[in-house]
Amino acid sequence: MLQTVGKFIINYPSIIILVFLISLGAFISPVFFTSRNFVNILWSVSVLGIIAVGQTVLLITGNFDMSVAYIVGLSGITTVMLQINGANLITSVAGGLAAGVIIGFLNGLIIIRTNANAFLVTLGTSALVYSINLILTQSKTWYAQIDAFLILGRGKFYGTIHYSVIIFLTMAIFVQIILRRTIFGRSLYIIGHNPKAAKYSGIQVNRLKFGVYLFCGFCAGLAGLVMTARTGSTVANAGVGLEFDSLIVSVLGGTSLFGGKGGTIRTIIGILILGVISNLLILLNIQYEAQQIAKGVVFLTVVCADGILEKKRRSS
Amino acid sequence: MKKNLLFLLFCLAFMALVMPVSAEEGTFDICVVHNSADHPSITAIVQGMNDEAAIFGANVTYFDPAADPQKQASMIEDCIARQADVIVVNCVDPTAAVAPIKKAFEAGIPVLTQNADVAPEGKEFTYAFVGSQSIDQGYAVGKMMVEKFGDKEAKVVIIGGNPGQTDYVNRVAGAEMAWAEANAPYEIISDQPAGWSKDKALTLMTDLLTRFPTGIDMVYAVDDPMAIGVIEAIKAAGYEGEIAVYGTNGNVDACEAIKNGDMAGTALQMSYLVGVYAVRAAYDINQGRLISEEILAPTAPITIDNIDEWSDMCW
Repeated sequence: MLQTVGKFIINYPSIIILVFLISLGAFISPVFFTSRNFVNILWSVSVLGIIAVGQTVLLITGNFDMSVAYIVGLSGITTVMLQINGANLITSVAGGLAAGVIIGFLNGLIIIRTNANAFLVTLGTSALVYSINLILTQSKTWYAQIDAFLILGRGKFYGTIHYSVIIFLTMAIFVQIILRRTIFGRSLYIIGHNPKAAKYSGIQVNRLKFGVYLFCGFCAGLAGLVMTARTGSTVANAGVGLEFDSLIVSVLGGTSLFGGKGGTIRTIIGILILGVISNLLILLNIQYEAQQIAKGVVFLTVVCADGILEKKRRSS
Repeated sequence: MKKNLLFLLFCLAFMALVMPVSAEEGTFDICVVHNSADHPSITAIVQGMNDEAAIFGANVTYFDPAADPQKQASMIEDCIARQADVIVVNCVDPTAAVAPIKKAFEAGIPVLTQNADVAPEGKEFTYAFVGSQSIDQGYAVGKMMVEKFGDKEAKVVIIGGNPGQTDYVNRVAGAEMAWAEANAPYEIISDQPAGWSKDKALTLMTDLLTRFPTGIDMVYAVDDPMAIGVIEAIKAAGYEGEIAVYGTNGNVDACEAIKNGDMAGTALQMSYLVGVYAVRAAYDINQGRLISEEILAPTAPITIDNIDEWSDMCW
């Protein structure tokens, strides 16, 4: 029994830290441990969560997508523009998702064709997408026209939990099952671990990589729709910062930046850590500067714990 | 190989397609370096400059460093190389802008600062500052608050931009100045930044409503988009109509929210006029006339009482 617990701690240090943060919160803030507050925390991280699902899968294959932040803007803008021009709900949503997938397609195509560094290529497309956003919006705020669309961001399932949270959690769990239980999913780990070995063992490395970029573009597109529905409007830089946040939460959850290791359930943990810290710091009304220190300390703790425990995992 | 080359050609063709095109001919050249073009206020400034340039026969070229001080410096040098007649700079970083502005000065090209001024040590290299004072905007908001709450005790939440930014700090200071003048005993119970983002403001306000389930009387979000995010949070948490929300800018949706009673007020920043005044100042410099060192666009307080008079000016 003790051994199982020990093994669990070694494998999932992030869960321990999350449990610690939640207990701490319950102890020091009277309003923290309430269902309403937990619903709010989940709601606030759902957009980032949907992006992070795509980013995590990419990280597992040893790739990055730094363009997700501006894809969030692009998909929202596409949807809103379509609505302004009279498109119905389905068409406008499909348009927004398509915008995300197209950028994913572009990223995948360039990276596979040129073998260029994924980080740099997607930084490049990110600049490109940002300028498209600027041109389309003329730097103005644009408003969603269809009220039913807003349900995606604001609506609650029988008044309990937001639809956006359900979408995020379902995606994370579903993707985790694919990663662990299918040949396709397992191949992604091999690609991340050792692309050469993957190639020689008959895995269509480029094709799978391409597919994952499409998926990541789709996730970012969906996140853009949710964010637009949440705020009811969109701007060119709506998602700025989410590219780094999506990397941070993946790593916090225990997905490796070097590929071959991780999972989307872990990412849920990472996201909850980030969500709980941000929430708790505001509930305690702590100064912004001190908030940054607290965030830095927790982040370093998780990353260091993971590094130290990695040794133990290998030896056991 | 051939395929790759074709692909590269395709990329280049695409780039050529999206490259910006500069303005048509005029009698004198104004080279404008924004701080970040992605803001409605810059769109309004550009509109004002273009409209006025047509009258004064100016040829205006715009550069967007996307809030990067290094890029802004090299863009100012590009303006020098283009031998513009006047350079207009909206400083990203007041101190970082000093060196490139000095270069323009040494090259004999007059510089105007617009919207965000250069640091004091760079003032001697510029002709004038054209813009609005953020302290005035905050003061206008503070006065609206005093009109509504008088000398009753009230608790205020501040939703800020990025920590330490001039506009954020000055707008809050302006509001506090107005309270102090009226001896209004208002207390700031929370002052947190939301990075000028509507979505972040929504999350922040949601958390603050959990922290202070009762007792928030007013919110001052230092930018209208954030004020709208705050209103969304208030609605979602079921506090509609209980909290007075103020913003600054005069964006169309804020004016709309004021009209239908969701928002208490905003300070209208007349960015369009900032553009107009900049072109006029550039024209005067070009004509060899002396100009005032500070050319300020007015700020108008907008509430439900006067929204109908001003709604045309919202941007």
